[in-house]
Amino acid sequence: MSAFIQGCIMAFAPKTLFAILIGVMGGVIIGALPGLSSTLGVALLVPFTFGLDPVTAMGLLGGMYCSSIYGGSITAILINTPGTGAAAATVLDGYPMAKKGRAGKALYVSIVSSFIGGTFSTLMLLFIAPQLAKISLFFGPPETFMLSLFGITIIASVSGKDLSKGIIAGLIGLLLSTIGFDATTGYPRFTFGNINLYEGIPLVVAIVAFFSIPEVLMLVKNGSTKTEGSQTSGMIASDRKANMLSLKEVKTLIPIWLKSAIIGTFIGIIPGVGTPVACFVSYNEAKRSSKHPDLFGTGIIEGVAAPETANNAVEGGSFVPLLTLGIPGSAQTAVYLGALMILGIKPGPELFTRQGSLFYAIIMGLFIANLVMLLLGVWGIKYFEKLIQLPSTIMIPIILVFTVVGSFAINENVFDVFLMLVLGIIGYFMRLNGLPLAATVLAMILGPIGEEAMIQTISITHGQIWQLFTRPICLVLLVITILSVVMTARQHNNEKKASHKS
Amino acid sequence: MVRKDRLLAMVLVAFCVVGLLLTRGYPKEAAYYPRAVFLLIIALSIFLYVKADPDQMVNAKGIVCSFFTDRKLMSVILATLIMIALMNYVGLYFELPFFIIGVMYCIGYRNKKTSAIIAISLTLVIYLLFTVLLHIRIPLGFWVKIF
Repeated sequence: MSAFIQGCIMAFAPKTLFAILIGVMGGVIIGALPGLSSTLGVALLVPFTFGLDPVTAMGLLGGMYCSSIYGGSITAILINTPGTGAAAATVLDGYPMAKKGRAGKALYVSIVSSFIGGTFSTLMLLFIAPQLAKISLFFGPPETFMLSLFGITIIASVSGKDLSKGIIAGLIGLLLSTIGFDATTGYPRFTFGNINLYEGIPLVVAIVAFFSIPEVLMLVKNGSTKTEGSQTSGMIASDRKANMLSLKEVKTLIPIWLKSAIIGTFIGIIPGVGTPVACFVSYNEAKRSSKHPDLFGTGIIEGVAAPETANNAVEGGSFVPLLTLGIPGSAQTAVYLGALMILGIKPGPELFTRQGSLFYAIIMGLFIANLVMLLLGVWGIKYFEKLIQLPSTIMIPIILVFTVVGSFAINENVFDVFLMLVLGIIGYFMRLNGLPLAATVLAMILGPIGEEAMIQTISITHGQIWQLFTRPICLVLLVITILSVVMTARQHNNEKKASHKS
Repeated sequence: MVRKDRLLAMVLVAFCVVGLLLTRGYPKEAAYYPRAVFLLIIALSIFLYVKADPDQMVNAKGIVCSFFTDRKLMSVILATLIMIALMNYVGLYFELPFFIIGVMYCIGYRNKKTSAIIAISLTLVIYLLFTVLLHIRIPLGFWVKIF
């Protein structure tokens, strides 16, 4: 109980609240601008966390994470372009609502639903995570090795259309993680005599390089200078009351909010399934259980509420495996894990036992972030039209400057900035060729953990690695790993068959 | 013309061969893990080569040329490269406004007044965030010697 109170005090500290506010504001902007992903937002903020204490840093990142998911719905509703993948289902009813002149109402439903989804899933995180963490107390090096193996198979599920390319991207990440001194022999690998590479590629440099530079170069290449915001200008009612929900509408939405929040949280807990899946499942469920399913797609509030509740519910759910087992289920949580490791926070049972107050501070930070997002979202509805008209010619130099200065700030070393640019250009070519960069970053994070655990396992078992399978948790993890690979392969096959038929 | 994925597979194999050659001088224990990864990439590249979609054809020369001849792309990369290279000598805060205005001009933004306002205010934000708030020692270049 004292840890909980201590966590609350830490989360309500003025600097944490300020960090959350900055994170939320940045997140809404990043999410609302088409072409900029929430992963980019979190990645850009990582270098800023260096000089901050863990709670403030987590507040900043948490604010960015949850609000950037909401931010994606703004463009989905106003210009028929989801700002992030998470808002793909919101387009279905959000944009028709905007065309009917009810954009303000759609944005209002979106922010309230996002708040409900985010708060519900954070509450679930508060109750589920400590229970799951108890299991991880039984984890030794063999279990950690199996867990990292499972984590790496998640690469397959974030690999997009082509499974083999996803695995190749992951293997490239594993290779990048081998740069620097070898853990067993101390021999410098792939350093070319450069002392700056002896410690390996700094994780933040890789994160910033792979998520920011390719995105910027794609924006430059595509050459769009202005978004389509003008198409819907004037669609937001200036009368604030007209946008608000009536009691009757709230009554209609309560079951949808509840169901979508449960679906989103559950899907979020499963690593690698992804936010878009949760949104479409919730949308379909809302449509299936509706008294008027034929109205879905024509611009009704239920069609906005379901996906928007689910996409923010995923966020809390995805923190469950991340904070208890150190398994990131998405690109955003992979970046978040990188930030945790940089700050010296080790996910797992120790976070709940030795650093209990920190865990509760992170949770409270998420609650506050959701509340700030709600207040900011309701207040900002009338300004969002202007925000989405911001041209990419202004955004590109801003992102570039933060990328350059951010990667310098890590070690105060110019070499890191060069490295970031080189990796970014490599990332750009990888992206052009369909190699998913999230898989590379995920492998870079999990690779060294897996390699270290493997060496320890070999040492413990005296080389008889088959002894792994005599440990029950290892066996369970092995089964889950195999199932994960088989199911993903089947899913990819089905998708391919479906696309061939169409 | 070549199938897109075949070209990718060939590049990956060439990269792995170079990587494998580099590991020749490594101690056995240090070389084992990267070699295994290189071999796995080669195996997957062969798979990629075989199943490459015949509908997706590209010109290898064209890809390289289109990258280097894309004026906007190259100017942004070169501007960033120059800024990084001069960072220690010129000082970041001195070169940032020029870099921002330069990049905005290269990608087609022509409003001089707005460019200048953005350049100066962004430099100020960076100074406040990194130097004042986070105490990062940003390179100041030759200005340190003058003042």
